[in-house]
Amino acid sequence: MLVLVAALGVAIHARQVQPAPQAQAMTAEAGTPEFFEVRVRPILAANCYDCHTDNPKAGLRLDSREAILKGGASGPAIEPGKPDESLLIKAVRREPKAPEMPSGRPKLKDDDIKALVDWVSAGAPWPASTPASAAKPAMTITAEHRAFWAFQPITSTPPPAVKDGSWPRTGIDRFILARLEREGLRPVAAADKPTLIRRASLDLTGLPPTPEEMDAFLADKSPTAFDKVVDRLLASPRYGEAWARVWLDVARFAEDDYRSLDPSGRGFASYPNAYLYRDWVVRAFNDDLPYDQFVKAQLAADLLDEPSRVRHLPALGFLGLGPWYYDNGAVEITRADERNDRVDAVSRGLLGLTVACARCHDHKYDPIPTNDYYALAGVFLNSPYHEYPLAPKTVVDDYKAQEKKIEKKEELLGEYLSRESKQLAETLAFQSAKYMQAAWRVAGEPKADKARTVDAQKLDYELFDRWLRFLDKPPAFYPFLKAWQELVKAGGTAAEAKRLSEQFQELVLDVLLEKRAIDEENDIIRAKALPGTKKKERANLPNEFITNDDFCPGCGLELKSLPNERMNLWTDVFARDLDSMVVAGQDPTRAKSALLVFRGWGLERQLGPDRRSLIESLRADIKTMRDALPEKYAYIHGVRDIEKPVDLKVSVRGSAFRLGDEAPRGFLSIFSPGEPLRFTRGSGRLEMAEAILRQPIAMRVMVNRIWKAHMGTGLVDTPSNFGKNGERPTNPELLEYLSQRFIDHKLSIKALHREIMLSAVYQLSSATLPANAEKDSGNRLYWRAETHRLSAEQIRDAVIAVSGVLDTRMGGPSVPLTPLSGRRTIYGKVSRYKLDEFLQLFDFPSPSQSAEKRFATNVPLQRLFFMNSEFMQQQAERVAEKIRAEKDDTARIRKAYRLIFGRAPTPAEEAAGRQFLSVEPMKQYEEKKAEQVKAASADKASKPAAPAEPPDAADAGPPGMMAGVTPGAGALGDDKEKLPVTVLGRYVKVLLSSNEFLFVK
Amino acid sequence: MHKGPPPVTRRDALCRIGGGFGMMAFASLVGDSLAAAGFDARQATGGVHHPARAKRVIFLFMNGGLSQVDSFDPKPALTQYHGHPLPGGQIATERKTGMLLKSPFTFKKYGQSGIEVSELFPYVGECIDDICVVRSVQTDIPNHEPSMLMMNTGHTQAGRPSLGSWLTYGLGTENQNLPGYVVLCPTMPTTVGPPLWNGAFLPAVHQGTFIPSKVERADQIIGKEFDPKKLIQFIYNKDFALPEQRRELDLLARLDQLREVAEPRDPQLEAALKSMEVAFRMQTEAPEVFDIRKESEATLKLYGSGSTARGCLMAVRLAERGVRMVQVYYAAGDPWDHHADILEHRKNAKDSDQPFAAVIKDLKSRGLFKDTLVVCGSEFGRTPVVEVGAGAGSIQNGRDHNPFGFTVWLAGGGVKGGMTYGATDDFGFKAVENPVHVHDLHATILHLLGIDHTKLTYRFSGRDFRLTDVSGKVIQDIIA
Repeated sequence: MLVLVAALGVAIHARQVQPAPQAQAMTAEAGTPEFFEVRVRPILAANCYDCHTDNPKAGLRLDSREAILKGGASGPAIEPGKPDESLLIKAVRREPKAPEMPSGRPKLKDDDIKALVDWVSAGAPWPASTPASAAKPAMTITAEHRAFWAFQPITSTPPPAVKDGSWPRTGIDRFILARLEREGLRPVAAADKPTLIRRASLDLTGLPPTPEEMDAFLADKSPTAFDKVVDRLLASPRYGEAWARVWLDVARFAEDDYRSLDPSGRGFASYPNAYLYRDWVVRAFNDDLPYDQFVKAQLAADLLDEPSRVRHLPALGFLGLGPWYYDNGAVEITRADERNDRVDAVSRGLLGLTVACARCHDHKYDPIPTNDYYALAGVFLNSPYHEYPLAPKTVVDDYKAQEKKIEKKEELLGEYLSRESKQLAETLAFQSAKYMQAAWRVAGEPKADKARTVDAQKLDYELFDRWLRFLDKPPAFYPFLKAWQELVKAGGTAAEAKRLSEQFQELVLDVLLEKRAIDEENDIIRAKALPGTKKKERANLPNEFITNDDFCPGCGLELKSLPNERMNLWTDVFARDLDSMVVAGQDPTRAKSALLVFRGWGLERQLGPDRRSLIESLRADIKTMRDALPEKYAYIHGVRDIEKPVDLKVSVRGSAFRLGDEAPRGFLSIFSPGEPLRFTRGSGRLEMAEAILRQPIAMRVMVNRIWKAHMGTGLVDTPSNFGKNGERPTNPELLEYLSQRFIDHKLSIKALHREIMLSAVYQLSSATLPANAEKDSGNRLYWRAETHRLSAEQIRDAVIAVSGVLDTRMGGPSVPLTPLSGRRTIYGKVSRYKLDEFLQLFDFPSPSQSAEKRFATNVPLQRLFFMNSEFMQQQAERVAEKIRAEKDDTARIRKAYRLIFGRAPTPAEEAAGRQFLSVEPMKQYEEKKAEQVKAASADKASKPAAPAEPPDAADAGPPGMMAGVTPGAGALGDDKEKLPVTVLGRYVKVLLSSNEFLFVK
Repeated sequence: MHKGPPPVTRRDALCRIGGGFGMMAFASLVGDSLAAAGFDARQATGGVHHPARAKRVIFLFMNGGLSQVDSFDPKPALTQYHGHPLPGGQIATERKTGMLLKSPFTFKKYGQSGIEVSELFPYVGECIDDICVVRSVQTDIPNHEPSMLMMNTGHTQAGRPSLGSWLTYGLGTENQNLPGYVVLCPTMPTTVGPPLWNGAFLPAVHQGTFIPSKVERADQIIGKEFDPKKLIQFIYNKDFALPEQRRELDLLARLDQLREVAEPRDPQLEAALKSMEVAFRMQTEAPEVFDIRKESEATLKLYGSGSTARGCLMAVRLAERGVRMVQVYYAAGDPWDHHADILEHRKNAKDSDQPFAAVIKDLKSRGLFKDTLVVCGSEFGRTPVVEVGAGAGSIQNGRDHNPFGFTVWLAGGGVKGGMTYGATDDFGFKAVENPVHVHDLHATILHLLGIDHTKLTYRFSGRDFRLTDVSGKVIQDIIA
């Protein structure tokens, strides 16, 4: 490399001094295929191929040596070995008389030009392996590709023989033990019963066992005691609430998108009925919906036969709630990005293959040609967003009709008011001279009294005030008040004031008329420019904003305007106050209204009783209609097939603007021995679902997800990547066995849970063995149980379960996770725009993309949450309420341990607790606090409740678990009473923050 | 023998090292085996791939779009041809534009370098010999949201990790008592908001932490009601004081110890205890950083007044304490977006000029300037032609968005001072000399922090993601 650099250095130097000596300064490197691929081809591709390939400008193609030598209208593009005579070089050097290339772009960088020169000097070699066309030949799928483990049929072998026949309980155990024995490892002892039931309960339901459940299990000495526990947990509705989340991570479930050009203006577009999909997933787990139906419903519920169709329609949220991106000015790219999301979620989520990698080029590791990507993406091209109302058509139609009526009325009222406002302003303009003269009297010498002047002249007090301010301000935007201000300053005579004020009034009226004339002209311009005169009706669907014009029709039009200064005067008098617009700066909402513009009450009080009562009655009408409007029916956010399906063209190198051959909708080539399977029914979604489910890899992927969720690590610990770059299974035979059992049990997920949990390996303790740790520190062979921190959902749900706040109602619209809300965490709002801070703090995955695993970090901010959050303190106080009545501290401590840990405290633990509870300053503190609370509540009772200060709208976002610490966000939620802080509550909080509570062994 | 992965792989370690608060997570997983995780280089030289020139970044963001031809990129031809059409025909931007519009502001040469700066930034002008003015920055789309996202995350759609997240992910933290990446703005800096400081698929600790920097009164930098404790979540307990809380933690430690007698020690559990101690200390240390009341009268004066002044001073204090990246946004919305009247730049510049210069001066006096990189700019620039569409309002003295060529300036942290780099055409519309795409800017920033932008990757969804996607080129010429 050094040689190359040095040699090139010489070449450059030589060229600067005199015309380059041709061909001799080149090096072997400049002629190598590497040099071409690394330096030359990228320059050509980035700068020339927009024009000089498929659509060759001037007849010139630059994508093969032959084409370059053949050249275009101006002759050959290069003379091999002679850069200075080559047109291409002259063009990029921008030599006179040569065409300026790249056209319309900046000159190439010097070192890029240098690379081209060196390449031409070296004879412009074009590596033989690269084909003439920009599109490479389709990747061929080889026998070696097909031999990859993940694509093999499931080959289940019977559980192997093991040396220690006493340990295994199930087939799973024999696979595990055989592997351990092979490595000379042995499993640790089994977990004790309290550990086991806590593990199983949190695992299956996300909640710790109640003391009663703990007692029952400990008392049950039968050999099937644990089987009964597993069955009970699997039958609990709480099970689906916990396990749905495992799938929702994969499904990148969220209830909004970040799209700032959203009509609601909140910076994100929410999907109000996203919960229907979440509830469907909960139900699917609780009903043990077989996995094939589970998948088919999510990809193609709308294409299923009745009654499955209706039952599973909400499942379409898997596709319908995927991100619909903000249109950023390149619609093609945006839509392509959306399809990329669907391909990614489906392929990684269901097949463990990273098909999205093949968007720009053939997959670098796996046998997935770019063509396959577009064959799948085509399915989603034909499946746009669609809303399915969950109400009969008549209800939907009625609702829409009523809503429209209300909107019409509101529009009428708005128009009426603005017309009145305009008319009033115009009327007031005729009084300009009168007000100015009055102002002169008040401002001049001798100063007339303001109130008296108002009375005497029959002026409007507010308007007069506005005039005074208006006439007083320095004329920043127009010079028209200059004479007047000089007059006032100098004193002047009443006659002069009269003259100047009349002049000004004349001017204001002139400007008003000119503006009217211009407006009429502009109306015509608009009418001509916007096809049809009807505004596009906004449906507020995700992919509705196609262009900027949709967002702001007519914004791009070149409209006429008055000359600057006159326009400014018009604005200041009839539209909005210019000075305050500028001063407002950081807060445009603070802009004041224009001199003569009155709105709201300021307008109405000037309208006279008749028109006022008309407005009143219109308002009352609208309110009555609004009140009569039933709550809006729910609808499903899904997709549906378009009528005439079309295929996508391959985007060459991923560019949405460079299209190659058509890629007929179909399945991945690797899964068919010959030609890839084509989809022919509509978009092909149902066929795609069926094709996926026929693949053994799909079974392995799901089985592995379930295994990982139970055991901490997967047999393949890259659960969404079973490709070449993913892991190989640590115990392949076990993965095969589990997949086969899954199939044998008709794809029942509950059966799989049972199979896993009843094994000895699931029931191991979390103890360690130095000899094992030495060899397999990551416990990838499962010789013990993993200790792990509870997930975000488990932490919150476990705390509210212990405190008794837990509300077991299921489903429905999402709620903010306020400190005292009793709803399970799965029912909290999931936002792509701004993820709930509590969820984020405890490693909830970003819902923008399908997540395969969660981290479990341990950061100080989490500890601050346990120490200082309203949530922890208030929940702890609720536990304290339950135990306060006990006879003494020892009894309270025992009860607390029973509720929180399901066990009795040791004497040392009791002693530590007693000491904490008995220390004197704390008692004083508590008493002091109690007094404060009393005083505060008495205070509150005597005063009418002041409205809470509204949180800063831009900052606050929805109230969440973080409420109560941020100033302004005080909502506790669910109108539960806030309890005073007590010593006992603080003690309980310590227990709830302990490792014993926050980790599962 | 089956070789299970070590307790942490290098990637896992990388995933977990913290921006600030995250360091404990890292330590909890790898113990003292930083070297084992491949971090010798970082320890030794302060850079991951090569020695770092800067340890931290302060990014001053004039969101909405500063007009380059009215600030740092003087164009006499604009004055000369004011009112004429743009030679060579219109260039399409977001909205309709008309004739060339001269700058209403006068330019003046500053410093030894004689670089011209407009009357909008006299204080910054005084510092010009410390500044490298890059006049040829380019971005992709003339719309705020995609361009804000591009400048922050290197991609025009929301959902990629932002620059600050990449930095904390790549470099970890120097102060585990503070977040590694802090975003300051008077109120939530939408229109885009949180996606701008998102960690996306990086572990959650790399998320930026938003702290409001709104002043109580516009003509002050500190108001009576200022309370630094209220700025950070959970940083204090409103019900009791630290000694009382200490007793809670002692009890907790005792109870956890009692459990561990019975069972073997698990490193995760031990880490939880350590992290609690850090949290306890944070309660006093973190609010202290934001407590600008601790600064001398002279320092406060240096910054002037208003939210930007406060944000800038906080930024320097955070940098001083090892925070990896601090961003200071001007205000919520797109406050620099002056479609209607470019004169409105005057107010914004008045709020910003003195604090920006103060950042440079203050960093110098604290001895931080040489290893703190200051970046100052907008998501895009503005057109040299006047905007005439209906959106231009009634004044028609403003400029539209311009992604083709605009100015970003850098200072400190290994960047040459007193130089300009790149150039726009005669009218300031398009970059014609040494164009610098936002990816190139990012590549350069990472380079200065000791990171090779092609090697700082994160595998997600089967792909190695980078801040600079598949492009980016380090601008060697501006590196001192």
